[in-house]
Amino acid sequence: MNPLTPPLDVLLNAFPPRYTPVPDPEDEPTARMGFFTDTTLCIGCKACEVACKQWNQLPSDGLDFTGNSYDNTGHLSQSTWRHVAFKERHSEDGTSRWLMMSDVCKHCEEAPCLQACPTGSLIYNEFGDVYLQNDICNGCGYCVVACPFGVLGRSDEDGHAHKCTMCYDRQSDGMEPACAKVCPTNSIQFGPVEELREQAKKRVEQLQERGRESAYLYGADAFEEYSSLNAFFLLEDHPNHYNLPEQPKHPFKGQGVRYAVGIAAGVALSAVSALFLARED
Amino acid sequence: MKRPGLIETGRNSRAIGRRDDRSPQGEDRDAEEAGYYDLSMLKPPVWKWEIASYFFLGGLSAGAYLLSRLAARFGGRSMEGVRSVGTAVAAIAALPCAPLLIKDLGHMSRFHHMLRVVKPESPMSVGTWALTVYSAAVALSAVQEWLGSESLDGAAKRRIAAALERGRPIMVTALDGAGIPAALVMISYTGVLVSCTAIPAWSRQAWLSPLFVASGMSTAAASIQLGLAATREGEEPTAAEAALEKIESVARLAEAVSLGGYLRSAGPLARPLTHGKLAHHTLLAAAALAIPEAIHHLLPGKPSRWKTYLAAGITLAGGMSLRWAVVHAGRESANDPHAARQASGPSHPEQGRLSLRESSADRLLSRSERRL
Repeated sequence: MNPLTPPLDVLLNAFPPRYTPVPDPEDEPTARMGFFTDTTLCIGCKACEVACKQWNQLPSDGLDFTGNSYDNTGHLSQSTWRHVAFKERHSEDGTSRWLMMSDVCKHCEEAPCLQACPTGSLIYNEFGDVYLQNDICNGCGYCVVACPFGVLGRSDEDGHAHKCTMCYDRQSDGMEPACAKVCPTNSIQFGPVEELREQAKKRVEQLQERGRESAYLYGADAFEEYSSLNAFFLLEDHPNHYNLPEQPKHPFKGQGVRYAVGIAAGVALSAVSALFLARED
Repeated sequence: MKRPGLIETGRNSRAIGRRDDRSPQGEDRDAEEAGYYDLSMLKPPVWKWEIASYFFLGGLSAGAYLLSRLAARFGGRSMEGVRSVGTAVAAIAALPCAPLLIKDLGHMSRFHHMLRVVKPESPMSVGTWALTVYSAAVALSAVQEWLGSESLDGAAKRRIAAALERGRPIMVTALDGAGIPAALVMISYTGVLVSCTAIPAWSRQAWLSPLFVASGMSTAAASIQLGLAATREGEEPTAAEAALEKIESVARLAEAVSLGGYLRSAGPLARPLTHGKLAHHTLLAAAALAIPEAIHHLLPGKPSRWKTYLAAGITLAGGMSLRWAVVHAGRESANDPHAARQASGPSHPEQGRLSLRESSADRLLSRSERRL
């Protein structure tokens, strides 16, 4: 980025996003918890989707046949908090393979949904997860469009937004989230984010030693201009094949500048109007 | 979620199994394979006509309020009409704003719940508070206007007016001190609101805010002009109307610059506005920037009331069209998988690419990116 003049810099950094630590320092120290989803281990059994629906008592999405491989769910939504993506990849040499990934809310370290929420319904809970208190959600729908991963949805039934809670209730009782508990291959791992990152990096090294050189981590470290994700992934192909953005953008970056431009336009037009209105008599 | 099935569309069947048909549809298949079937990674906005109408009325009302305050401060006797009609327009246009938002939220109480939190980093919260403060200021201004008018008489009113007369300078200063900043936020925040989203057509577009400001000003001037034209005696426009016409011209110029700037900076991401079913809305909004000028300056004949009605009406229709197009473009833009992929691409394609080895996937992707 070009060097910015000081006032522009101030505006660019106005309204800084909130960072993870919200818990009171008086509280007993808890590590930030997250998911590491290793797609090389995923067998596409959808047990996570089912376990999530059951534990969180989410409504069904209806019976749709999409024709998109074995994926009839499509995407995460207000009623689907785990979604198993199936992508068929056919390479030039005639071989084919499946990409399978259990998608989930990324629990971003600087979550745009949390900044967008006008009621403070979206918060970081004591486990460092982005938690939506849907009882005080007003249904304005701003988080839906703020999320660069398209995770949140607003339910037509109750008019509230809903998303993955990382099984806050289970975590509070010392249990792991339902999806991680049920995963038969340990593709979904749950734990303190720092530990998961170490583990994930070892896993990538291991895979690369075995010749699977395309393995890499998505969201374990910060992106070009987006924070790291507390629910990150090990992928083996371009993120777009998993319906993930290659370089997510923080929608609120430069908000101060955009306010300044708008207000300045208003003041300028008012000043011109004052001239016209004052000219007569 | 309803999507076309395998049998109905040839696109899906190519994406799934028939790998051997390399050409002539080979390119097409590559483009599809670059993403996740035909699905977008983003969720479409839940905002519909209520929000488009609110954006229009909120901008118009705030603009009218600003013009009426400016006329009160700087205008002479001949501008009194702008002050009184402007206040009336601002109050009438502000009336449906909160109900429209409540309609979108679904419950009466939810608007109130919005006011439990002040959150300056969220434009939604800023807007709610701006609307609340602004509505109060505009309502009080309207009451003040009514008390000062000659249409109503009576002992009670005279007593209230006399009581208020002593506090009047303080009240006016207090009202303007709260109302003018709130109106400036009201007229501009809607553009900031939509720009602080991940929707490709809106995301981080700095031109949207001045675009809405200029449109708010031009539609406000047009509606005040309508009110003045309806009450004037002769056919010749008054000095106030002439001033409003000039204000409208400047605002329309600013709107044209902003619209051009937006379409230029958004480029292919603004496609929902320029192609498909919203294109005629955008076209009407753009045409409404030029047609009123033509009516006033090119149409033969003397200035008449009907010319004013026509020109102001077109300006208003254009303003509504603009909000309609921009708000509804969000849905189309979010549902377009190509736009979402393009908007989330690396800012520096060479350095930004993730540490992927140059695989066939990359080649396919770069080929499809070129196609975009």
